[in-house]
Amino acid sequence: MAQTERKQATGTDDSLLRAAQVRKVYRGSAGEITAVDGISLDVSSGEVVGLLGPNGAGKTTLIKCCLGIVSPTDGEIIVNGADPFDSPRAAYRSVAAMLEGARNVYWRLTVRENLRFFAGLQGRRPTKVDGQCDRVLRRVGLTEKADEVARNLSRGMKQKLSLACVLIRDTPLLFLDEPTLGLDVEAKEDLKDEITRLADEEHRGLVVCSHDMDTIRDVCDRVVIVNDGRVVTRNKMDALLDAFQTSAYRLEFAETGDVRSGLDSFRTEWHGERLDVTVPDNKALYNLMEQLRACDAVVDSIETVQPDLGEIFLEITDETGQTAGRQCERDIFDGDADYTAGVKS
Amino acid sequence: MKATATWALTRAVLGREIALFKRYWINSLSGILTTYIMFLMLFFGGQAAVGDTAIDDSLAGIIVGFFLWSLSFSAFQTPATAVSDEAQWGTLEQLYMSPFGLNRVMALKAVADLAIGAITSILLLVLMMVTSGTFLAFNVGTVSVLVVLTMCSALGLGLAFGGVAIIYKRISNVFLLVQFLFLGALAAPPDPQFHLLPLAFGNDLLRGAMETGTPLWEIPAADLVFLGTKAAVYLLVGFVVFSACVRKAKRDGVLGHY
Repeated sequence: MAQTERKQATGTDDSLLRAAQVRKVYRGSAGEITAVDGISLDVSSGEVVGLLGPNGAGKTTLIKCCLGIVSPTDGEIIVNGADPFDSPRAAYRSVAAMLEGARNVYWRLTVRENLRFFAGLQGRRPTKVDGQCDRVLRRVGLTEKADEVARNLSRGMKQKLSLACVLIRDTPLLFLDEPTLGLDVEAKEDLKDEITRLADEEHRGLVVCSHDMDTIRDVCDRVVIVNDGRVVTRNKMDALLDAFQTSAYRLEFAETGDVRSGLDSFRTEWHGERLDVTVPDNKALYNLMEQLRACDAVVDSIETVQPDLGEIFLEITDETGQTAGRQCERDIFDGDADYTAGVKS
Repeated sequence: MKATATWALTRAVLGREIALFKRYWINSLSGILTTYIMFLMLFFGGQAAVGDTAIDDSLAGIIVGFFLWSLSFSAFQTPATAVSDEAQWGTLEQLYMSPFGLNRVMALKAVADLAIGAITSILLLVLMMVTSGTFLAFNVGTVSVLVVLTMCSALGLGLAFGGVAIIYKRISNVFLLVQFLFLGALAAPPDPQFHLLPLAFGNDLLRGAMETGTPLWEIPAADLVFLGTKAAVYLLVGFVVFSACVRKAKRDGVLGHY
């Protein structure tokens, strides 16, 4: 369900997270390292926001700043109306996070003991949450393992337990860092359904950070791509996919002519006689056709390439891709007051 | 924060510690046995070396000292080593994100461990008294108050070192040195210049109370005030250092790193 539809469904546009111009500079003997450089991030109830970026891009630091675990050098963070640094107790009633997957749980406790403990951390009597424990265990598929010691669980099950421990805290805002790590295909699909259900039915806000592009594509309303501590692209998921859908074409030739050496001004990739070409805008498509004609190429078929989020991510985060990302963002958000470009050159 | 919520947290923390104690009872039991074996070595070794009379003269001090030393393990090591353990398990950040705050969660964990440690230490005390044939007075109220106030110094130091462990993570060798400091303090003569050492003075009061059966209200008020003030100062310093270290860890981004 799209974000706007969710907002209509919930009847609220309450912000659960507002991070404005967050900046984090680490100072050490080797000098200064800017891990996060002026990133803004907003999450509303019922919304799933994907946070993407290559290793070292600043995602984890940003998340930890939002959670009050790392003090930002600059910027403002508000979690459900509370500053996690000035009023941590109020903020932590509203947010829970799965930060390092399976490492977030006590391996020497049973599954149920873990859930009871984490419920207690939130101030809920462990013996009063058994009903909720059962519901959470059912949702993540761990009912039969309730009395199993966590260290005896498989990697995927530990991951599920970690998620269960986040859910038992019953907070409106959730951060999930690599939630699908170690999950099999079926478990991954279950997790995606659960994330969607949390947003749609319980109106929780979620920030999902993952390298699993399928998960991000399937569950997120918006995606924020960061690189080198900055936002490279900030977009609605559908719009991001659409933007890249219209710019990539697959051509098959009856005759190629001199086309292999005549398209230097375009991004091209040959697959035998088939050519994938990316053009920056519609006007460029006509230029491409002109050049194909000049090369005496005979086009047999032309189709739009279905975008793959992984390829989009790679394209955006590599050096040339940053330009594409910026262009894409401008195209989509010209005149859209709800979103700012968020790209710093 | 409502009292019911705090009680819920207390139950959660205590429940976890009890579950771990029961699940790993061999490990728990081996701790008691190790301390008991050390006592046996000291008791029988002392008898062989200096004779029955000489060792009997200081037996009450040795028993009380061992009792306090075994308790100080829980009081000091819980906050100090728990931080390293939690960081290693990846759960430290989860504790930090409790609405109660890391300080309170760690303090409650220390109290829970101290409560469990008190049970095992009392068991050890009984074993030592039976073995040596020296039975000391055990007025529950008097012993409890003196033990709690005495343990505050170990707890305060544990919190301070726990804070340092948040930043540097692996400082277990320093913990070992502190254990020797405790031993030294317990063995120190009851002179005023040693009263500020952790466990000291409280050890003297407890030994006196258990040897003579002196109830709490007959202990000089000035002594109790001094012991209480010392306990408060140690705890306060422990909390201040712990909080400062948490702030630095957040600034350096190393709160959950291991």
